[in-house]
Amino acid sequence: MTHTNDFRSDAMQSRYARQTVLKEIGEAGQKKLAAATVVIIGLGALGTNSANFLARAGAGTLRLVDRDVVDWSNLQRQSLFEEEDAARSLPKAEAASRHLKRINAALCYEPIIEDVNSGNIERIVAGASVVVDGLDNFYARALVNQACVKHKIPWIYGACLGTYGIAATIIPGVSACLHCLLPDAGEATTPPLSCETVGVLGPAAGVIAALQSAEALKIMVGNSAATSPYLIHAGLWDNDFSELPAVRVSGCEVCGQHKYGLLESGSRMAAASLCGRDAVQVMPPAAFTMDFDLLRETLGRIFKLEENAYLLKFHVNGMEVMVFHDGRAMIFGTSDPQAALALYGKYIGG
Amino acid sequence: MIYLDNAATTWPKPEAVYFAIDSAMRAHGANPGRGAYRMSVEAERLVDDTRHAIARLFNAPAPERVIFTLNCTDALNITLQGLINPNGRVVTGPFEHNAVTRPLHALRSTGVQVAAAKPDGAFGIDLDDFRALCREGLDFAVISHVSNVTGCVAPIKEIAAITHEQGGLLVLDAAQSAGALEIDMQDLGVDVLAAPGHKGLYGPMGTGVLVLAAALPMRPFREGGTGFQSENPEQPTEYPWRLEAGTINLPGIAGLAAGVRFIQSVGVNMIAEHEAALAQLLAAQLRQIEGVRVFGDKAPRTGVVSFRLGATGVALTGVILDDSFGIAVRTGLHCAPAAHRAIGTFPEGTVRVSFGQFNTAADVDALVAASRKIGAAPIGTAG
Repeated sequence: MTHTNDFRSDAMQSRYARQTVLKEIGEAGQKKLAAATVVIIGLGALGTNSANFLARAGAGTLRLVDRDVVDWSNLQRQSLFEEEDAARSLPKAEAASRHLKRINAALCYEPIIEDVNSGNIERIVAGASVVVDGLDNFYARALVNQACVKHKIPWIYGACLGTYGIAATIIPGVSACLHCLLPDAGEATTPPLSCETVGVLGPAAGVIAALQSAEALKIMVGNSAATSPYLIHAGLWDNDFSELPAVRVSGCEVCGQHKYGLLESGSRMAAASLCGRDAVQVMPPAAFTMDFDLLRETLGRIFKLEENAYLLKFHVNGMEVMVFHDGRAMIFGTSDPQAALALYGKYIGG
Repeated sequence: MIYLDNAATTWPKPEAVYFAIDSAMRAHGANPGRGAYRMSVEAERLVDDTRHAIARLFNAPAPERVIFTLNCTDALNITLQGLINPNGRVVTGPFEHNAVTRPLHALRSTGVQVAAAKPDGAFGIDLDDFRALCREGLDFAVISHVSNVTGCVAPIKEIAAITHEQGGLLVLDAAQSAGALEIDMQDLGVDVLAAPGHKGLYGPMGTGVLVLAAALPMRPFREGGTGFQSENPEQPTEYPWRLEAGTINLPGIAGLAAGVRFIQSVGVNMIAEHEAALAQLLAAQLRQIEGVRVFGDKAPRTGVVSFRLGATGVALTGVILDDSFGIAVRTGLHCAPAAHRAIGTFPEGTVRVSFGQFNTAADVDALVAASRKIGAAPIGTAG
């Protein structure tokens, strides 16, 4: 994609003055930034904060990916969104592009309103200078990892939950990949550790997004060598800031043996709308281990649950959700399998 | 696991079916009818033997007019699209499956008239209405032999007589009856029969048959290689090649042949009796549970029983039966919304149980016991 980001114009000179004066970036770095494409996958607290930093910094093309719409519960920490976005339930990718255009109109924005899956992830990251992780589940991160390692695209892992967050820069063939760090990341777990079930402190996400954005800038200006070789941990409530070694595993299935199993398989979760009903059944894989007691305890903290011998029931966003002992769920009030999968991932298992 | 969804596909298959598929691929792996070498000729012989077996099973007059298809839906599409005249008229019944109603719906937009006879209020077809519709003229009637929702059997002999009186042909959708009820095409007056290979015939999925009583001038549904007359730019007009193009599913057909041998060794009447007995037992016991409604004949004649369990929704009943009791049933509309409208169960549908030759009375007991327990634990009336 071409764009007309004329960094030499006077206005642009003053816009980026505090950045080009930095010896780490300079005019040359700014030019490289203008030619770069950053893909931000997931537009929650991490993704919107990163998008804000990187659009202001002048990353030439921002591809913004999220299947969800803006919800009131997002406004506490997701910096780009406004009340009206939530009131109108705008798709996050559209709303983010619209706000960013008002911040920096000269950039090229590519909103993608899609769920990340094995069928589209390689297309989503295609042509990226760097990919920034704003995802909320490890299966999708494992997909991003395989796609980025396969196509040798650097990506910045970032995750935030409760009051802490972590970040790591993954440069395929150079640093540890996500599979080296978390070999079980692609496996489904229940209940999910998600913002919905555990909560998240806005500033923790801000810190991680700032780290990710700085790492992305280093890569886009052509100085990957300056990126952090560590897994950075930031605990904002218990004041625990640390750097953990991120060790590349020799013979790693993904970055060593180049096995990209997730990219070559279909969806783990089977979702099917039930004929005759406004309902979808989500069925996890047979290997899914369900801890029903833990799920009850976790969901019990946020919902009023009903239960009998066969199922657990709760209501969320106008939908009625029934969870069964083998991990499957019936979600009434939607006939959209993607919406049901998203809900399942947030509350039941991802 | 107790499998009670044999109306969708029978499972398990007879051991001989698995073996036949495996050995067809290993021993007869050549393309049938495409070569003069022994392996190809042996493969063709296997296909030809199966045509004969199917023709004998349905008392069809000519084995060469047994056409192998992908499934019953494929056989119906080939028939409906190949038999209809421009601006023609089709009369159908109240319990048709989407395999019939969707192709007919698509034909409507090309100027074809479609009329559906009313139900009689007791799970049957209103024959007076059917006759009246036929009198307005028809190219053919297409009727399901056994409803996949209620298991009720349509009076095909009478329907054929009415259809023929008015100069129409009778196309029989034998999706639920092939292998499960005796079908004598010549005695019943069936002109075209469409059947799946993977249900009552116990073959594998991906097999079906279309059987023509007479050499009708059907338009080919697809054109392509036949292994002979290769110099001819047109599809040969001879059966079966008129309606068969491209390499056929030899392993599937070998499995289908083994399935047909199996049902003939047991006896179609014995199978029908066994399945109906289980359905009768189930229907009677379900009716004793408070709040249960059974939709169908008082004494079912086939292996299908549809019901609802009081306030517990049908989809929910199905999930609980699977998750907590290991019983597989089908819930919802069963691809037959017209049938559910006819019996007043649209749009939620029903819980459908369908028996096969390998089910036993113990399966009925397990389902009845589970239904009692579920009915006694009311929650989540939604599903």
